[in-house]
Amino acid sequence: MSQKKKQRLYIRTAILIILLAAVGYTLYANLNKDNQGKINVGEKAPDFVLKDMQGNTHRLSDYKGKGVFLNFWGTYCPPCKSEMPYMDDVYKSYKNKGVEILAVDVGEAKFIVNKFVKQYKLSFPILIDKDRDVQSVYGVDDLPHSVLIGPDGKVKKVIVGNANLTKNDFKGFMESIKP
Amino acid sequence: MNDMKCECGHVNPVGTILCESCGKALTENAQKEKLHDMRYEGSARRSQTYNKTIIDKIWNFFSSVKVGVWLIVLTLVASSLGTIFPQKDMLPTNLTPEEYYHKEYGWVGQLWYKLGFEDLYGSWWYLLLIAAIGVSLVICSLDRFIPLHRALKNQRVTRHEGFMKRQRLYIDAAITGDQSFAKVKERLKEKHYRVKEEHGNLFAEKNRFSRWGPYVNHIGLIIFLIGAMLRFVPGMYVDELLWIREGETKVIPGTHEKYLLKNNKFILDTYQKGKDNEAFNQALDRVGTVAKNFQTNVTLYKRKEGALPGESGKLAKVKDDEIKVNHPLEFAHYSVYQMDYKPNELKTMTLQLENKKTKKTFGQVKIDLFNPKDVYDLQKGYKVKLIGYYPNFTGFAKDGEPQSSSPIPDNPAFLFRMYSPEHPKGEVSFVAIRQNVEPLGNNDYKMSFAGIETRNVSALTVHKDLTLWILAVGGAIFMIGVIQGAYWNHRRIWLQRKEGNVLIAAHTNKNYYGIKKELAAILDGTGLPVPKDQQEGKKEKEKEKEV
Amino acid sequence: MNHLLNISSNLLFVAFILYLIGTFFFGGAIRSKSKKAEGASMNRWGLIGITISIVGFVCQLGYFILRWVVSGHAPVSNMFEFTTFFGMMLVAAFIIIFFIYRTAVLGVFALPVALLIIAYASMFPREVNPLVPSLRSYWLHIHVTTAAAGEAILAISFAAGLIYLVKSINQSRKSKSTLWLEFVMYILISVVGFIIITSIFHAANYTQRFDWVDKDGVEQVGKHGLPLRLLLST
Repeated sequence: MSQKKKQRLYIRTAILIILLAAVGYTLYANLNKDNQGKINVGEKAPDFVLKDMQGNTHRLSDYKGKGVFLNFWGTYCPPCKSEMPYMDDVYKSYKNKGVEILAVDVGEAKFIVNKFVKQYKLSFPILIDKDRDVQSVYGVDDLPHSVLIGPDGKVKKVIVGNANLTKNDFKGFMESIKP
Repeated sequence: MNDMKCECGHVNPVGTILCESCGKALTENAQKEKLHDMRYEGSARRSQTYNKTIIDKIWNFFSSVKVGVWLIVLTLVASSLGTIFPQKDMLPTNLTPEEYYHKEYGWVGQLWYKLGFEDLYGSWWYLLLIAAIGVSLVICSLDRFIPLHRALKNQRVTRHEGFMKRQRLYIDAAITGDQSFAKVKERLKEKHYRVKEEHGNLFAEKNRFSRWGPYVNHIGLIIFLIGAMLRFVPGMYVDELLWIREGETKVIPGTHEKYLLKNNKFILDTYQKGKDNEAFNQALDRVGTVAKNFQTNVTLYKRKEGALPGESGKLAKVKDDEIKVNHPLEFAHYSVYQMDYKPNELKTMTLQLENKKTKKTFGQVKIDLFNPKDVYDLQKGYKVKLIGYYPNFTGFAKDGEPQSSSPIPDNPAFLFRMYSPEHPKGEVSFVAIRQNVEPLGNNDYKMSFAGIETRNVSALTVHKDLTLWILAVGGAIFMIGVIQGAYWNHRRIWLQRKEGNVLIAAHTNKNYYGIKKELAAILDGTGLPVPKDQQEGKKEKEKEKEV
Repeated sequence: MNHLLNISSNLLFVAFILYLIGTFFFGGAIRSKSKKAEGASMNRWGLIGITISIVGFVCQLGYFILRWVVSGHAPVSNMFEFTTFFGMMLVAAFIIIFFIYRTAVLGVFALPVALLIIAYASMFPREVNPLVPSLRSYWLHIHVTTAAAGEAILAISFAAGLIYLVKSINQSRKSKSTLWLEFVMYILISVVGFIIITSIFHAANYTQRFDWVDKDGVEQVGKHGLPLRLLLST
């Protein structure tokens, strides 16, 4: 190949590579755009501060060293209601194994949340995210939205909805974030 | 393959069809042509010779204008498909997209959804089409501009005879005494031609710059596409919706939880007959109310350094503002616009305890629909306990339990236990809007409706767009290129004396009608013949054949 | 205020009539074409035609300005105002192009189209209406006007292209070109027919009411300005 031909080949290859990179980036970014607001597995779980029904303050970073099952729920969400008994059971058995459950209500009236807690006899901390601040950070849209946080403070798994979950699944969740 | 040296001495790149300098036909095909294809000056545009490597194959594919046009047609058809049903971002939020398309549009809607058209303009294959158009733009332009520029730069005054003969406008005639090149030169200069002279031959050219117009507008389009692509980079583009009630303080979406907004007051003004321009009275009679202005008076807060979500009180006030339609709140590259509103959302409901027989009332209960109390003490001996609250009552479940579908009090319902001296254990009553159910038998007392308080909910959109200036620059360059290419024509006229003959040829990239008129005006009274349109001769012959 | 509004409406009506008269003069101009060479200077008919067009345009401009004064905002804020403005821009575009190219035949197409558009505009509610908040911006003046002006100029060039095709396509034999030309003409005539029919029914204040139950089981009432049987049968 002559010098000129070689030069042309290099130039054309370079241009095509640049174009390919631009197109590739655009497609990649587009595929990820739905995940942009969400917290992804492997990232550090954003810290937050909320009060529970008894008035105690819970700060997420205080739980470092323990696993945290962070659950966003609402009383008007039927799947949330059905998973609460499972959560209560596994909470009791894993409390001594260093795994906590923090249930964040999405900002309903205290009256309603209280009634719910009493009705289902829930023993784990119930926090109310009155201003929808924490939901915003965690990119919570559909309920229930659960985030499994490991003892290192990093997100291990995100579960949205619970269509086919059994009690054993919940056990498995707790097991996976045991310190 | 070697570079092609023409008999005139100029060295042309491989694949050149007409010599860049003198215009001699360098290939057999070109020599056989009656009229040359002058679109790219016969320059080495398409090199079939190196179609060998895959790089060349890809390059040649995208350098085809036919391919480019097909891409545009495909994109057009695809774009139209997305307009058949509303896109998923435009749907009401009470149903999932899948449910909505099926319910609203039947099996056609379901099929449309299954094909992935509900987010068509964000789908990977649509973006791929647009990207392909972008690639085609780049490669088409490079492939043509470089050779064309070379050719127009290297052209010389005295063209090869074959070149002249094969121009669309051409004539040759014997030299006579009353022909005046000098007069022609004067006329050409008057018409703003740049005239070059060599050995007594003339070359006149004007408006070469307009040939670059299409390439300029392609550059504009490419910049525009780059701007659009940059919108995917995190932080460059934000477009969110925020519903906020009067009195609420909420995080502004898209600001990474750094900024919060408090809705102090929502104001809605309508046009009033008698107060506003009386010319509007007729229209107001026909239509009813027309909004004149609606705005949200807000306070902007910034979360203090180190403050965490959920922590209240750690906010620093930034400023107050009144967000009116078309007058956004602006801060840190963000703009918050007043978009919509929901007037008169229920805030509190007041009911009174009433004895059904005597119709006497024993006090009022004002329930905050966002934070109701457990117990409401009335006068001595009378008390109302709230045992159940259903902000958006949707009906009874199978077991009789009232259901609520959301925490927004659009259809509030209550389960009361009413305590009176006659009923120390209380009577149970279920109260909803236009519905009173007494589950445990007839009661003596009832809770009757006494009033409501409402407040307005404001809808604001949050915008951040760091790509806007890029799009503007791309758009402006595009327009400049279009104007540059559209409103001027590149015209060239050659006059030569050769062996007792005078040869005149002319070329333009568009509007032959115009250059013919100009030629007639230039040559009028100079003794020189006006070039004939060699293409028209052909066309007329064809038309004759048809009839 | 009312007085000014009346003058404004009257000016629009006068413009309408003038465009109608202008059309006839342009028709006369192309008929006597044989007397002068093609492309040569205007004959008398053409001259009168363009003068009438200009006077009509000035009247419509008067309607526009007066309406602006009465309503306090640029009168391009609803369907009636925008469509009449578009018609006005059509006439303006035609006048400009006429002076560049002196083609009287363009007037035979452009003026009637402007007429029809103004007639069609008159079927929309015509009261001066207040601006909703989203229209209270300088963009109303910039965007709406330039969009109408641009579309009008393109429409005139469409007309010119169509006239060229009619003249240059060989009509003595059936071909792909003649088929497509007929298709375009059919569409145009359908549009004209639609405007004429709806104008007539609107002028007669016709409404037809019908009751039906939609797919959600909700009873609906509909009103229509054209007899549906007529629509279904065409």
